[in-house]
Amino acid sequence: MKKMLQKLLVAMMCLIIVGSLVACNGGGGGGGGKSEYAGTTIELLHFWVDADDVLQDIAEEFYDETGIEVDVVFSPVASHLTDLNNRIQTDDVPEIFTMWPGPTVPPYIESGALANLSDCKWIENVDAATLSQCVYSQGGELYIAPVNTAFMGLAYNEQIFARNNLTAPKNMADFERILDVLKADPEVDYPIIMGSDCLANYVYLSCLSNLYQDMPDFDEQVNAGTTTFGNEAMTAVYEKLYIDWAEKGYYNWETCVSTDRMSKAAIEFLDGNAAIMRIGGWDMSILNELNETGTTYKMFPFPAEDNAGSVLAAAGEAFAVSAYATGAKKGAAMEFLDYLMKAENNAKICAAIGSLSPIKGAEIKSNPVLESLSAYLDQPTRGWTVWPVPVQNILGEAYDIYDAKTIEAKKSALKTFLDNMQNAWMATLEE
Amino acid sequence: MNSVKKRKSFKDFLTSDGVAQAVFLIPAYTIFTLLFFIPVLTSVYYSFTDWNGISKETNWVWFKNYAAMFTNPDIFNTIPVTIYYAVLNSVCLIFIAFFVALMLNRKSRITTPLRICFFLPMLVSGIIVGFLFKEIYSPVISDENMGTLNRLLTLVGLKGLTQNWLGNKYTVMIVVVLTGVWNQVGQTALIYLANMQSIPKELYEAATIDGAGYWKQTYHITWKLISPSLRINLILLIINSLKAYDMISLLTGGGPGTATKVINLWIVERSIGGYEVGLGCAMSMVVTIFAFVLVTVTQKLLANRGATE
Amino acid sequence: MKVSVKKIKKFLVSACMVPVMAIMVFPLYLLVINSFKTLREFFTNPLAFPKSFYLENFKYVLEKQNYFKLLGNNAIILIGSMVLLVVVAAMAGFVLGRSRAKIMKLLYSYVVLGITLPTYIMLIPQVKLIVGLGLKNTYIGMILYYVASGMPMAIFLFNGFFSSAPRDLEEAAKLDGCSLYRTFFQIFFPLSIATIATLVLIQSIGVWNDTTMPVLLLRAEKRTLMPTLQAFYGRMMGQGTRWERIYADAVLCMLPMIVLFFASNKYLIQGVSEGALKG
Repeated sequence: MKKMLQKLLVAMMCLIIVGSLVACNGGGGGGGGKSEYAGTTIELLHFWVDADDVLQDIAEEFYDETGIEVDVVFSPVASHLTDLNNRIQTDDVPEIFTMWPGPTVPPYIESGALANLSDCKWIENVDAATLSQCVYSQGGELYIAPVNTAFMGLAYNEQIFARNNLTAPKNMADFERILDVLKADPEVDYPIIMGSDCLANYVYLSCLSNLYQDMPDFDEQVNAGTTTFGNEAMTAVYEKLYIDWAEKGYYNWETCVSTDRMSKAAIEFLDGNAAIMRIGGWDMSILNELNETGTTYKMFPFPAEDNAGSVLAAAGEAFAVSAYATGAKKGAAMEFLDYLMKAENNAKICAAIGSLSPIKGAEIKSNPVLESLSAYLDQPTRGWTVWPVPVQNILGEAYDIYDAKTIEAKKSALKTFLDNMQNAWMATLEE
Repeated sequence: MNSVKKRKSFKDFLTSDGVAQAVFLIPAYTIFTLLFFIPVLTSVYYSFTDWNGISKETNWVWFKNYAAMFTNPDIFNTIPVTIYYAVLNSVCLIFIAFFVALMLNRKSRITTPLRICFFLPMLVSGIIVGFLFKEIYSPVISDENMGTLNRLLTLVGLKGLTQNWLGNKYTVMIVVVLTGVWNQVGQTALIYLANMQSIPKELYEAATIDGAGYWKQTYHITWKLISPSLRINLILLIINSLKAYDMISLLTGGGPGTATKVINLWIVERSIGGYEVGLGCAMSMVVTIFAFVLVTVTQKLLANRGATE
Repeated sequence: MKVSVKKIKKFLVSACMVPVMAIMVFPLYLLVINSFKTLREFFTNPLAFPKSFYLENFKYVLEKQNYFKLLGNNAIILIGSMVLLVVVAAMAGFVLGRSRAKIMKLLYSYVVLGITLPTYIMLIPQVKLIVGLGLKNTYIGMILYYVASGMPMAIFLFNGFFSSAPRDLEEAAKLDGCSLYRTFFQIFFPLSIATIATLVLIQSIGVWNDTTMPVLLLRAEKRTLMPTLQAFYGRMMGQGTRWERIYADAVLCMLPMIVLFFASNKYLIQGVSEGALKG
């Protein structure tokens, strides 16, 4: 009996020893040099539903290479910033997290929540235009790392264009001619279908090509008071969109104020009831999901008076490192950031979320839609609007113009609207 | 006579009146003070600062937030909208739920399924109600592509009535209130029902003998005797109307323009979206005081009513 | 056999109720059938019965989240907070309702004023406090939060009930030599079952459906069901929202509550109406 027990004990000891050896080997068996921060655990908080799996894989490869464990946590877009703020308040900040370049970032920089990234090595690999959109305007330092180059433009139904012998417009006059032809096509309800945030985004797209090409420093001039929001160029933009085109029946304005405009508009577009629609890279996965008719589409920017127009190419999303992380955690986070910014990893993330990559050398599997838009990148591009948030919120909501019955009434409603925008802009300057 | 000296044991101490009462009160009050009252005080503190919700430092700015709230031009739109919504919502529910409760009080085979049908919508959270009804109210985009309500109207031949329910500033508030009624009528009716079922049957029998018809009986007996539940419902409704956020936010996000921008929407937009949490706290304090005044006034008005019956 | 006019009238009224019932249930019917559709079918044919019961949505939702674990969390938090709230508030309400001491009125107002407060702005201070107590990411933290939030309503109801409960019971108990504890737990607490039922009904829905607090206080494994809905929103509400998945998720989230409701239907309504509400 005693002998049996002894044997059992020895067997168990062997098992334990072997087991721990295997575990250790398994953990460190990935080969490759270990980082000095091996053994630390950091957290990545991100908001990409589509890229969650990709990030998990990247984190695993990173662990095999460096021994740093990364906990990939998904937080929904709707509550991401609130969640982040809350975690800052409770001293539980994730070491690396995602943000949107634009007006939401400065409060974090000014509160000291973001680590300074100005000395990182991957900076030289990032496309200059995208990088410039991430730089903090007061001081020129970099606090966020751009992940993708999002773009937005007008998509057109290739089949409809083909049967009407149309090609992408070369300028505004050409575009309006195209719209007239489309209007005459009996199978098309309306040439343009307004997609999500329709009017606001159309306004901005039009500004890219028509306002900013003539007045690249529009924002600064409004701030300085040398021009008003409702100046000639802006009035022309709005008049064309809200008055001219509505009158000519190029689009059905009733579809603008509706739920899930993008997906419903997408169905119209894909079914061939409309020929043109505004989309962004992030919309492509929904378009693929809804496409039952085998429609193919390409893109072009909003045309300008005398050229094909400027593309909106913006830093879509970015990584940031917490300034509250110290020591090993900070080092580990920075190392992981370097790893994420490598061309092949960035390409994987961008492919998952449907964007172009700002990293030189990143190859995203060829996508005809993206390629069609990149052909226009020789015109000056701009990023997202940086107008004050109260102004952005009401950008497209000039519904009073539609309620007005005569052209004069519409124009005067427009003037009132633009004056309100100017006042809202000025009000934020005073605060 | 023998007087027995009692040794004061701990048990005696515990059961002595004052101490026992304190023991009963302590758990509730500790939890409440700690997790409710203190955060309220903290919130009041923040309302006097310019905290932006992120940084660890705050600066004391006295009454700047309160002043900013009242001098902001948006307020001339938000307050009327909030009052419009609160009044419409409360009035509709008070009366609709009363009739519903009457229906639920009948002895009939249909009463149990009826009760189920009315109580189920109570269980749906504000968020689900929001996006469910947003889809239902979508406008007509094409013959095949339209929201459920419009589709139903088309099916029964009322195509002319189809429109953009949530995009039209005249219909949007009515639609929002109706959705709220759908969600809340169950709870309101339930409270009425509970009260109705405690009204002694003899009153009705006596009235029938006296020759009073159904509606006369309902008005004189039922309506007058449900004061307690009327009070509770009114208070609950007023407060929930002022607190409304989830459903309205998802249905209209503030409505076409600002047609349904209830005060809570405005507060959240400015405080969390605009990084001005201090201002948000100040605004909430003002809304609270207003709600409190309203509730007190209602209590006084209805207390008199209940007393005379 | 003569059918009385009264019976005909009764039948007609009942018949009129049928369309009303249909209207009330219709949105829920929509919710359920649309959760079985593909996105495209959802947009083009929201009213129709699904062509085939497309189960992918449910599969996707169940895979993306650990449904049963979250369900368990939700249940633990709900039961825990309801039990604690009822016991603690009944105790306090009992003393407040029956004692004539002046201080009681003050204490009562102190709590009941809480009903009027909008909870949105107190969130961050409350979270900081709970974390400060070391209760971050624990069930206890959430339970205490819900108990505190429900306290004003609970004390309001219990105070109302106990202040109008008959005095003679208490006198009798005192004569028998019962301590306050005995008097309460053996006599009055069971009496208040009606109020308890009302309170539980009003509060449970709010606790089960809460989306903000679980996100702030709990990490992924301990979270509840409702916040998962947000995962299916698109970049903005209107862009890229996967409705069919949200609907499937919504059905799954509401299912437990509905099952519970049907199970307790009889007792609940009986309970609420038995004692009647005295405010």
